[in-house]
Amino acid sequence: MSRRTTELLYLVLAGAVSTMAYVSVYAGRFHEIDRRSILYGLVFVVIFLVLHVVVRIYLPQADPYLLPVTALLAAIGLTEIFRIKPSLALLQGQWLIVGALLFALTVVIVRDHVRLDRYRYLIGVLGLALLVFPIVAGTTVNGAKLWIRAFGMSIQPSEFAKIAIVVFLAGYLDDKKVLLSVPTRHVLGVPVPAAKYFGPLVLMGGLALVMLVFMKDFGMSLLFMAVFVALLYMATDRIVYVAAGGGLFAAAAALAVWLVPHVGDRFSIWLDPWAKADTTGYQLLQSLFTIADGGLLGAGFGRGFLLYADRQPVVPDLQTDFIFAAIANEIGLLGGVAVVLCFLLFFWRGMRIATQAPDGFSKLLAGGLAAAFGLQTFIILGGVTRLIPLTGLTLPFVSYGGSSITANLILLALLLMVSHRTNVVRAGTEVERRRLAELG
Amino acid sequence: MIDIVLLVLKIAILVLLYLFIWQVVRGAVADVRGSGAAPDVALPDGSPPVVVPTPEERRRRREQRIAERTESGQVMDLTRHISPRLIVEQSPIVPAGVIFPLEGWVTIGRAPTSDIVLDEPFVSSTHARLVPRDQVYVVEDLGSTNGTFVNDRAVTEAPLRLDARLRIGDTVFRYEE
Repeated sequence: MSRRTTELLYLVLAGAVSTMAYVSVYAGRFHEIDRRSILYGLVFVVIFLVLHVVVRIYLPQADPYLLPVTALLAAIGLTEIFRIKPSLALLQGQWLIVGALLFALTVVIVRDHVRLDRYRYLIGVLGLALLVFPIVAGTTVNGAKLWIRAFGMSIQPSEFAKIAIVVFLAGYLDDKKVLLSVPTRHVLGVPVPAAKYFGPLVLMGGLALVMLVFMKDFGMSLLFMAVFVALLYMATDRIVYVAAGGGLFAAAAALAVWLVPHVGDRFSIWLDPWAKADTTGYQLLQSLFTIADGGLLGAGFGRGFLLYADRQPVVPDLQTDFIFAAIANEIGLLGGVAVVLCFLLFFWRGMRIATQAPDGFSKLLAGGLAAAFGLQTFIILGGVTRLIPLTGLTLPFVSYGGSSITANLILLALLLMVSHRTNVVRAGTEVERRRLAELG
Repeated sequence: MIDIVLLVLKIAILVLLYLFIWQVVRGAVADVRGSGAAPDVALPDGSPPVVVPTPEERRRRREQRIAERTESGQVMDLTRHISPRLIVEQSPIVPAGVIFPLEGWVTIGRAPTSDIVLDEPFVSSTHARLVPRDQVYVVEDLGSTNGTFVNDRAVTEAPLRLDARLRIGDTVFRYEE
């Protein structure tokens, strides 16, 4: 069975799950099952079938599991958003179509990710600009300044900056990895590579701190720093960078907890949400109650206790950062674990693509993208379940948010490109190899 | 009635979710174990497309070149050998003695899309190119960071004469025809 046929089979399975989930929510709301609810499932399946065809034409040897896992996560997210606020589900559906278009455009225009390496610095500057832009022109939401409003929409540029910066770092670190792993001097007994190769890296670390201070965005800042350290470690195989990066961030975070009230609150809530149960701790406590209320199997899609009588969600921001609480409430511990397993599958495939990739840039690109995806998932799921301090990030593919879903679909496109190149270089047909070579 | 339908749906969704995960894991693990899929052994980073042509292949290429040049009206000096090639003399990544036959424009660089890939720290992504000009290969530096050297002199553009030493990064080639 070819890779694409496998993908199609799994997509059909994911489509079946999404249709059933939607029918369930629809029936829970209107107490009937009608044609419209099944139509939704079909529209959703058609979007992903189109993506499947795009992959079949342009990236026939790409990994067959990533797209179905994405479809399943997006389906669960969209269903849950419809459950919480039907008006938002329509918007999110439109964003999904925009994301699908951007996915197709990325695949058709870029074709081979290796070509991106040529525009390495341009992409890096673009990423920086996207990150810094909200500081200048942003609006503040929930204490963090990371949104820009344009054309009546809110866009979160940092979601896109994440990808641009991974592309830049993959190229840069692949170029300089030998220099960075060979120490030239010793400082306090610690071997340190030559300073000039450190420049851009210090810039990256500083950037994470700037985000922390000026945008007060603890989540994105943590994500950038972690992805950056992960990439450095992957490129150089030197644990010193992990220790230094972790220590630096811990110090900065401690300072932020102490000096920035917004961040300090998050930290004290994590330690003891009960102390401020009626103010800042309310959201996290409601989230924990909602998850616990689901029990082992949950009440089923559309039947959990997620909305008060006045249709306000029981947890503030339920459809964005706290969507996992809603899912765990409705399909229970088993369903919640299944969703986490889907994220794990995505991360595992991404890392596997990285280990198999034929050249350094591809390895670091896939590894960096998978790390960004996995870390973002961990940071928000850990926050919602009070494993780590709560920081506002979206749950990839699932949360409500146009920037999040479009950016993550582009991330998926890049991972599939790396996978396609790997499989063609290793075991592709002569025609496929030639086609890839001609792209250069 | 609707309650029973919803209960069935709830169970079915959970069962299908786990069926999906199980199937994906099973398929992916079978992929890892081989079963005709790509081997799990990592190729060395940036391994260059080492092509050591067979004598027949070399002869075929030579004939093809002669045919091309005759067609384009160029005068062919048949007394000369015309299988221009670079031979690796020393390199941290390519074994010495590896032959890169030259045909048409040849790009050298760290980018995987180069004709000759040198994955070394002192080689730029697109470092240099070799261009055939009036029956002589000319090396052109493409604005590399660390320069292109012919017989230990930094050049931006220089013809390659027989036995010229071309150094890019830490790799030294000898040019033969």
